Amino acid sequence: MTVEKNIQTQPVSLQWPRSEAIPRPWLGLWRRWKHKKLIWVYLVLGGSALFLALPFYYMLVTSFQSTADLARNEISLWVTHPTLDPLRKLLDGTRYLGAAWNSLIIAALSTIGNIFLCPLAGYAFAKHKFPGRDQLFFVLLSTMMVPGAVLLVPSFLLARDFGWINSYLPLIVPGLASIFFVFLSRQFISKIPKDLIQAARVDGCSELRIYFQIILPLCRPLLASIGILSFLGSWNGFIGPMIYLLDENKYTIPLVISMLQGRFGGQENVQMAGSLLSIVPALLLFFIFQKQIVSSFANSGLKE
Amino acid sequence: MAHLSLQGISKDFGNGSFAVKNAQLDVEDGEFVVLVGPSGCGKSTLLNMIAGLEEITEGSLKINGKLCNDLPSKDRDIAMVFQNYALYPHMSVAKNMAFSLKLRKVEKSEINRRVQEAARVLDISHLLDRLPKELSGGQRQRVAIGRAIVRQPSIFLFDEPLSNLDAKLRVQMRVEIRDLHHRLGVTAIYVTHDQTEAMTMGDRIVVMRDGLIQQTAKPLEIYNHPVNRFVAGFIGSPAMNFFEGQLARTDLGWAFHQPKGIHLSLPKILQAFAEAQGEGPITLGLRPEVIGSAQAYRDPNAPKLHGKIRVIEPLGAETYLYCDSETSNWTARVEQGDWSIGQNVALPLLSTRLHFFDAKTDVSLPIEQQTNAMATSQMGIFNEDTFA
Repeated sequence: MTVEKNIQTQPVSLQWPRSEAIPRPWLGLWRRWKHKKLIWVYLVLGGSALFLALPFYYMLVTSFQSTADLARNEISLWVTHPTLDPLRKLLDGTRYLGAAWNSLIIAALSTIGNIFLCPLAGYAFAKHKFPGRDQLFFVLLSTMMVPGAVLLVPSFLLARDFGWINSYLPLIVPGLASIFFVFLSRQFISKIPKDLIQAARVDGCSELRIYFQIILPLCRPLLASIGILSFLGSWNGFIGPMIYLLDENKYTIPLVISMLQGRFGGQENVQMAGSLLSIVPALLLFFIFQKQIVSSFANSGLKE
Repeated sequence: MAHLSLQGISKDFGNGSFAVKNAQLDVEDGEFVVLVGPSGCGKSTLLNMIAGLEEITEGSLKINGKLCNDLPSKDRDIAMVFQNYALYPHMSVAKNMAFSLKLRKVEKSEINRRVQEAARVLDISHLLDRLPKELSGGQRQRVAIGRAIVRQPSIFLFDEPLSNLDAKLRVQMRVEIRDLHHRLGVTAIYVTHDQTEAMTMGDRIVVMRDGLIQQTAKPLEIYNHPVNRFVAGFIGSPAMNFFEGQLARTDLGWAFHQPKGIHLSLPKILQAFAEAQGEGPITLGLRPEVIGSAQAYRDPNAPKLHGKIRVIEPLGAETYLYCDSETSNWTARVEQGDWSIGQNVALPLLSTRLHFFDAKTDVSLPIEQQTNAMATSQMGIFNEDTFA
């Protein structure tokens, strides 16, 4: 019976030639691709990524173009004769390396301060009971609602009264314990089970030891987030250094880059080389802590 | 090894509400005491106060005669096993177990010896290098117990350690913890909300409710002689059946009577008790195994309880029948049989095991011993159709 059935159906299936007969390799790939339904998502995401990457690509390309090439083609997306001249001009003709060092010092100190202080405060708010804790936290949070520009003049006056003008102190000290990072830390640490702390207490830990040996090691994703965000915020800071720093020797990278326009007007390649160099630390940080950053942003507040 | 004494311990949250009120408890050397009660009854708070993790508002806590109210946990010579294991996620099993010893500056060789020994006892030697997240629930629980063992504390505190495990593993760990306690002989206080755990593990059980200790006694003592309706209903599974009715004087003597429900002539031995109580409301308590048991079936004169089966739970060796009658719902623990939902049943009662409670105060009325003494000889006193 079965054989007969097969014989009967065979000619019918032959009427429809299978597509493998025509050599179209991409069709096979398309068939094997499991996520066909997501094609629009991929197209939109890919398009957005390209759109966002374009300025960076333009910066990269321009940085290696000679001034002459640049003058010939107004906007070029290809390097015909790559050269390191713009870079040389930048390093020889400006205080770029000095500024990089200044930026590094300021960013590093701010980052260390934030990494040390914010989780400590967050731990207190998350796991310790003290009178007025919630009210204090509310007040701290409400300061985040105040726009930065409003604080500019009072902060400047305060720094002037302290005699901090033309020093790095007003760029580092006020941001040492950022409210946002305290908030982030509190949210993260409050997810760590209370039992862990109690177990440590029964085991014989002092309060400080509980923090440093139990809580902090569990906060690695949090520390990575704080580190990256704090470093980048400080590294890219422009308004602060512009207001407080008077001496050119103390200038930071964003200030030097802003000055390139005046000094190398028309030489976009030098300006772009300056910008390109300035993003190197950010890229390095990202590559080193990529895993931690992704996990910390994805589960910010969740325990491992 | 230690003797623990709680005298009038209270925990006040400051707004007039008590988590624990006037707790009195003496735990002997090497004793395994189980604190049991529903959620929010204050059992974990009491344990935390013993551990030094909660402040004691009133009363005195003594370990080996030494007042410990204000002593930090680390100086109380206790070890605690937590409900969610509380293993340090960033430390290996070995480091978790060694942590407290390191803090106490015990010599490295001694730490190693104790960790190896505890790991051997708990059969986790092969897991020492793993992180907690690489372990199953049961293994984590063993490590948590191991961490407590290496300390060689004088008191073990367990805070619902098995509640996160699946049913089979829970039974296995229950036996292992009990076995371990026998071997180590350390004083242990164990908190649980599971009355089966309490009954099977405790040398003594402390039943708590709303911050008050209701009864402290050996498991069977609590089961057979609960001091009030709450304890009677909480200990035992399925729970005791309660029938609210009246003590009434009839032509045949005193009887338990429910309008449109049960009418049960009381045995002679209870007549004096009923006389003392006088007419008025009273609550009758019947354990499920008293209804429809093989022993009750053997007695042709046993009074019968009528009802309609609502739910059947066959457990293999026995079957639970959840029945409805006109005035009350009740549960019977019977043998395997041809039961069906909606079936009308008349199950005989083992009338030797009755409990009576004061209808107003819910306090147990002390008749059971007298009833037991007369046991079988009095069974005929119940009329065949006294339960309708």
